[in-house]
Amino acid sequence: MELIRQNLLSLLIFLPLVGSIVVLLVRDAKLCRAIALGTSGLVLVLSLLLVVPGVFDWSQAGAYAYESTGGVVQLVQRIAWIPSISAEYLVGVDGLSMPLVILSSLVFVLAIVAGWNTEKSPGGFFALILLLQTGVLGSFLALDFLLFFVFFEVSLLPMYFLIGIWGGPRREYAAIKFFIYTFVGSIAILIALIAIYLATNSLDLIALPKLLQNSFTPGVRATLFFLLLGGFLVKLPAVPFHTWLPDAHVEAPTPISMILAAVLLKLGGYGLLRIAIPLFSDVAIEYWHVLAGIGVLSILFGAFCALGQTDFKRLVAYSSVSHMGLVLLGASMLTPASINGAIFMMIAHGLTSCALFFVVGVIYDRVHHRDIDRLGGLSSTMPLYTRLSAVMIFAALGLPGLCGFVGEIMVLMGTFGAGYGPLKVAPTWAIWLIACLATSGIVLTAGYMLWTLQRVFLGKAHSQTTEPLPDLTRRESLVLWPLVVMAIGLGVLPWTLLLVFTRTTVEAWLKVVS
Amino acid sequence: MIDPLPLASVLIPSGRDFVALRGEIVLIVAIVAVLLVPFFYTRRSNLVSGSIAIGGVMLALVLTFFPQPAPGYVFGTMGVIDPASILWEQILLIFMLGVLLMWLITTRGAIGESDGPEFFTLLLSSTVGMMLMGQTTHLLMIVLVMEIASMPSYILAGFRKTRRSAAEGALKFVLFGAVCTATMIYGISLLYGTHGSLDVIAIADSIRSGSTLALTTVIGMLAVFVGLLFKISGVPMHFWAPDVLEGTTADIAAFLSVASKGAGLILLARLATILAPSHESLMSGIAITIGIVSVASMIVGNLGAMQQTSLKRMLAFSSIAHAGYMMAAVAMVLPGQIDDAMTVLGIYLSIYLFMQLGAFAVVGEVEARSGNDHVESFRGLISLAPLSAIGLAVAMLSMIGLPPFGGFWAKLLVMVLLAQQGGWWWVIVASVAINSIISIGFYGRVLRAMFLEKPAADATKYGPSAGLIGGACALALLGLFIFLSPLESTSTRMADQVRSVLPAGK
Repeated sequence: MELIRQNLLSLLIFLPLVGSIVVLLVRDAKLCRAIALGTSGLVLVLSLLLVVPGVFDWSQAGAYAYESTGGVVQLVQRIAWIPSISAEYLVGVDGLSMPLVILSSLVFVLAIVAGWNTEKSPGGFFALILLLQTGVLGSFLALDFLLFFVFFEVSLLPMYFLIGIWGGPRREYAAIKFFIYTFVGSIAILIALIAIYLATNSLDLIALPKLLQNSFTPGVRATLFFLLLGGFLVKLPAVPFHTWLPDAHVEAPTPISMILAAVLLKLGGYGLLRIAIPLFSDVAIEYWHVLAGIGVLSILFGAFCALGQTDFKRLVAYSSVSHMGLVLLGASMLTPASINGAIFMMIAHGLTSCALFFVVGVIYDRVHHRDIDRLGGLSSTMPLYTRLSAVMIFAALGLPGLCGFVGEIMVLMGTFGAGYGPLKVAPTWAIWLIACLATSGIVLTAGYMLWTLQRVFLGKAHSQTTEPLPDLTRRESLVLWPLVVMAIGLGVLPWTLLLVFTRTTVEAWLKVVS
Repeated sequence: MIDPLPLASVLIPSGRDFVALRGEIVLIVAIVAVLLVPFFYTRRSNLVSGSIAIGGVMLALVLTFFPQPAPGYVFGTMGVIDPASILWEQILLIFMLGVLLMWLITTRGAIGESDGPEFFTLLLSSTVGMMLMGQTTHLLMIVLVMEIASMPSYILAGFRKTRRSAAEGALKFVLFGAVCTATMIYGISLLYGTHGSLDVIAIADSIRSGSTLALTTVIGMLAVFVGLLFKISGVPMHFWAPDVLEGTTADIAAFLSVASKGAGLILLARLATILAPSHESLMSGIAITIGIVSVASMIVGNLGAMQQTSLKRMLAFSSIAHAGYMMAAVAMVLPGQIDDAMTVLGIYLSIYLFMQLGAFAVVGEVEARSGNDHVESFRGLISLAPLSAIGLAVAMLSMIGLPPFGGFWAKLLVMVLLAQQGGWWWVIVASVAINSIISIGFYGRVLRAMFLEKPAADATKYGPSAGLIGGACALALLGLFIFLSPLESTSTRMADQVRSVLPAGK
């Protein structure tokens, strides 16, 4: 048990890789998916160990440092990799990464179930999904900048192939667009990485905020911050770097859309919280209006675009842009409520977007189009589907009692109270303006979400859908139920289920930042 | 005047000198053996001579791992033996082994029925020349060994006698080579006239003792640089590369794009490390000149590759770009960075070898199967020859510089090296970064063809040997990513020793 505890994070990272290789070696399609599900299921179980008391201790307050020195970062594993450029295999977990790790593990299991009946070379499909999981979990758990970058890039390639091979009609365009956007972003990150390494001779993400305090002139600091910011905003994605997202989502097969929205976008948010903001917090405070402005712009722009869509999947994709704008806003406000809210929002969005993309996939499997105007009245023929979908739509629009509400309200409260935090410098009217604009975005969200609910599920069935559509199969409901339960659970017990884990880390994190 | 004393020791070599050259001697014996093959085997002479060549290269490679004589001059001041020369020999011989295996497995059919003995004579002769290019600092030797390396490769370029494009490429190659060699010899005569010696170390001493830099010295060095650029296929001496590589078989294309380039770069690095410290403004001049040429090579290479549909042509342009990345490392022959620059060059070459070998091996397979190397021929390769497709994909992703493949370290280390110098060198860092992005454009097209498109209707599966070399190279690239440290320490040792032959007082 102690052995598992010590190597838990490495197990989480490399178990999917092993599974991926095994899947590639197995010829039988049914065995492939069984192995893939088994592997990701095991990873989920292992990741849930993180909430078991005694494995991961979240109650103690501490500094933003390693456990050995009384900090909040735990289960650290450290092995020298390439000594001459001080690259290490350094992994650890704290309240910032832990919720995302569990979310990813859950989403990968659900995605594999969702893609259970993939016919086109299932071996390659599941192997790539597992490889992607290694990249994602590695990015969340790596605390060495270079290691993070490597995993960040490793998650890029499987996604390219998953969209490009198993995607829709314009898959090649969408895949290469995704690839180029993200790669340009990561090159920006890489250049910042080189400069940071040369200034400090260290790549340790936990130690770097202190080491970097007195490095560089203000101009260079700002440049490096914006390089990092650019890299992560592409991934987030924030307006104006978001245009790859709708294309990628529309072309990607359902399980891949679920992973993309629920997990990969979080890499952007996580990167902001772990790297860009703590390393250059003075710049983040000085240019708070840029971050907050992009955040609000994404909220509003995403919402307006979503309002105008007739493609169900595109609509959900734009709602992602809008929701991730809230994450960016929360991250930029630097108050306990807003940061906790940003993390909460990431988890909530992970659950809702994952569910909504699956909802789109379910109806697409039945009618082979996603045109909202040609859908309608599904509630009469597919009652269970309608009920579960409705819960997730309400969760996404922020109905109190469901997960989306908690995230939104925390970010907004944090924003209104930002003047008491590190953003004392900011004029009050500007903060209020931004907060008010963000709040109005919530109204728009309610608008397009309810309208979608109405057009797709309520009213009369569309004349073209003559035959009654079958309701959710057992496999499909198996994917939706956990998400619904989690969405309700997080909405009712936000403190017990999530914030209790993030609270101490966010406190420590804010001390470093301000 | 040529100093009589070292000349005497050239004429009366010691045992140590021969030990230092054991690799070359083994290859020369193999060449003679290959030449004798037609007298004994009239049929199957290709296979027999190929086997002899493989045996010779393997023996020479094994010998490089045995203890070597102490670093220093051999044959008077004609040759140099040090870890850098040994590392280069190892890189080259491992690569040659790969090229010969590639011939054995895939491109055997590309040469005529009984042309084998000539083919391998030329290939091994050229290899000997390239090995020697890594171990000399004497200008006379440089001319000789570069000609030994070049002459056979002119013929090899035109070896597919029935192909128009091969003849065109070979002619271009000869003309270009002749002009560049002539320029280089002119430069060498200027250097000799100005400094009275053909030994580069003596020239460096002479520059150091004089207060001003003679114009003839500068022109002479530039002319020598031109000759080296031809071998490296750096801009603006790169024009031969696409035509020659397109016209020739995949094995020779790989040979020219790695061996010739590597030999030129090692030699360039050696000359630059010796000459640069001798004079303040010469140092910055060399660094800036190489830096500008490197950026130009990156840009020309990547933009040129954009429009290509022939894979060998595309890889030729991409190899020009890689020459640029490597020259960027060589440009860092500045104080405090010489060691790192040599280390990075060694690492880059070792990784580059596997990228090119893997890529050309797969291209050779497809060409042997479909008769051409157009992107269309690669359509749906993943379903026809999975291992080949994965091998080529890994090679290309590594050339883009994506982890988890060796090419990531190669590019990252170059970028770190340049960033360490800071200032305007960040321009080259940005150039490496931007060019990596551009390169997705053309590599992406091949990846798309291989993985996303369906094979042609009449396409059939490849044989079981398909992708063996490509797969092995992919594995090597993955291995080099995870275990960079051993390679790095080897390479660092090489850097230390390069300095040990530097003139005293540096």
